[in-house]
Amino acid sequence: MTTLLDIHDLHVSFPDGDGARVRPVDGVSFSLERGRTLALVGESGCGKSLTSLAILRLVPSPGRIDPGSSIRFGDVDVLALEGEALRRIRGRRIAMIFQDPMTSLNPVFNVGDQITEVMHAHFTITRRDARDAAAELLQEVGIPDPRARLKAYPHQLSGGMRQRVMIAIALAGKPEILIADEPTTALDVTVQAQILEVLDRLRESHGMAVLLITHDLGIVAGRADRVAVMYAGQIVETAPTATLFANPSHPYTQGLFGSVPRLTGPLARLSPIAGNVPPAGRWPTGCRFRTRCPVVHERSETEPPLLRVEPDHEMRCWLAGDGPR
Amino acid sequence: MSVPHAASAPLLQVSDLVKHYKAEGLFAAKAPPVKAVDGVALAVARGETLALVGESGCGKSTVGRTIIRLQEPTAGRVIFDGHDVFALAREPLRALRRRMQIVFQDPYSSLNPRMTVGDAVAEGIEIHRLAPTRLERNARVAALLEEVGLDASYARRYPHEFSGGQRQRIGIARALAVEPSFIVCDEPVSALDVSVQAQVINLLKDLQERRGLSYLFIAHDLAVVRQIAHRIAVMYLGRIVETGPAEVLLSDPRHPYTQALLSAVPEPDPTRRRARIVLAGDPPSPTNPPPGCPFHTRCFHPLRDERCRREVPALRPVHGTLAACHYAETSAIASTLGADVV
Repeated sequence: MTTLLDIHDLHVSFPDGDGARVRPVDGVSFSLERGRTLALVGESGCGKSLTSLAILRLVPSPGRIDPGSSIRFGDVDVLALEGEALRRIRGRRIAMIFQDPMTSLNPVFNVGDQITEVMHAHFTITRRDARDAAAELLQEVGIPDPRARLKAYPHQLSGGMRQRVMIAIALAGKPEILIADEPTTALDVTVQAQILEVLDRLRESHGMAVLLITHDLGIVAGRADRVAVMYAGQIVETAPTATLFANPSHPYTQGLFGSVPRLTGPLARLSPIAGNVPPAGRWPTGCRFRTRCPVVHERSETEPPLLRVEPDHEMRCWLAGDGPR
Repeated sequence: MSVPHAASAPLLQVSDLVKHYKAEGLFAAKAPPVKAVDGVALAVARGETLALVGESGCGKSTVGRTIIRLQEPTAGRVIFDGHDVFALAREPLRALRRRMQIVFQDPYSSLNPRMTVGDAVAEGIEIHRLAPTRLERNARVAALLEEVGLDASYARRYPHEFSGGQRQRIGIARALAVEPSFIVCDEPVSALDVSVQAQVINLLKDLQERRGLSYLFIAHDLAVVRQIAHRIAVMYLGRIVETGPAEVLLSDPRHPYTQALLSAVPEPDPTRRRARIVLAGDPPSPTNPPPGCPFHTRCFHPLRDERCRREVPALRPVHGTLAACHYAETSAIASTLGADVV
């Protein structure tokens, strides 16, 4: 297995207005392998989207990636890149699709222009060849009559079609990594199923690594190879997907599972986590989940490190059996 | 879930509901209308939840809004507790509105950003003069906020200070303020994170039990619907294509479209293999619905034939549900929920 992207001890901070800094991403480490999918799972406000923006150096001002963080893409130090070198990675070798394609698509350019723009930016290619390649991409993401659709504007397309166009734009740079940030959250379940199928197919045919960011464990099953659950700026549990689903161990992960409505099995009342994710800066000392945790633990005043649950399965909770690594 | 009070007359009875939108603009006179709702019948009993399910654009939200006359119908009849809703004059309609409320998908866009949460919740109380004094009004607001799981002190704050889930609770408190007996829940949890979605589903169930509420629950996710619905009606292109008791419709769906909707729901279990039907494309345009069965352009039923392209199937009893499919006796797939299909 080849590690494509290695993120180590990533911290993203914002000034809190009183001269101090809050850290919505606070020491996140993971890596992405070629052709694999890693799912980053958590509720709104847990820091998962900011983590993905940091990979592309798109942290919104006045936020910053703190010193000591490391993002390595192959042998490239992403945090040291500037200007042209950064642009060669962003949108080209690492592409991203967002939840709301309408706000990420440019309303005054047609679909064909938006796809070929990426190609012209990154490759030497004739207009005609770019047009042909764009039509091929639309075909590949499942848009019927792709030649005609090149001339369509975003407002003429349904939500599902727009998300397909976003994927086609992302693929236009032939990326090695695709970051998909809640790619189906705003869509109907039927369209969600279509889009996820397209993503699965493309990952296989292009051998891309996918970072799938989602709050829905339902779409992780059968898709991701590995899961990292985030809470309050940190990864709180990580394991191969099958392991995590067989033995979700962190009370937060268990709460996420308890929230998912199911179609099969006995009908039981949902057992969600109480309350909301507190905003960065108002996280409790010690274990950050303790204010919502159904389990009371004598050591919850002390912040737990990632502890071993079983081989290749760790969690940030004192309930882990084996103690420190 | 069993249907409560099944024997009594339904609280709400909708028949032959039609809502067509006329095209606007230069060539509007010649343009065909958008047939958003094309002959819908449904009933909701007291204390019951009927879920109205379908994809974006199928007309489910239009049904919800037309029933409570937020939009005027093109044709049809709605009887609410003995009142003919479409025949009511302005004043009696206003009085009836107190008993019929709506909760929207995006509570933020339905809350005035310059109004405190307390004033927003109290609006209905004031319009319908339900609290004689300021003190009583404030006490009611406080009790409502607490009933939906919010702190009473939030009354003094503004909508932007709250998360999506909290705003949805505010929207629910606002609907409850006038003590309705029926609430249209228009995709109330579709925009929420799963954890918050689960909290709101549980809240709606508790409120129903405590207050004996009836819900028309509009949604596109059948797993969510299973948590709350006693009965389900599946809509496609402005029509109901299948309806029945929730447990029957979910375990033995007869319409291929219902089967496709079921198979689209992601299940958090990597070991379970289900029949996976991925419907091709989007639903056809309601301006120009296909002739015959509205679903025939996307249908995958092995028996589909010329008849489906010609003849509109009627909603008729098939096993435990009513289904509008010529070949509903034969399932389109071996078993939607059974193991080892794919």
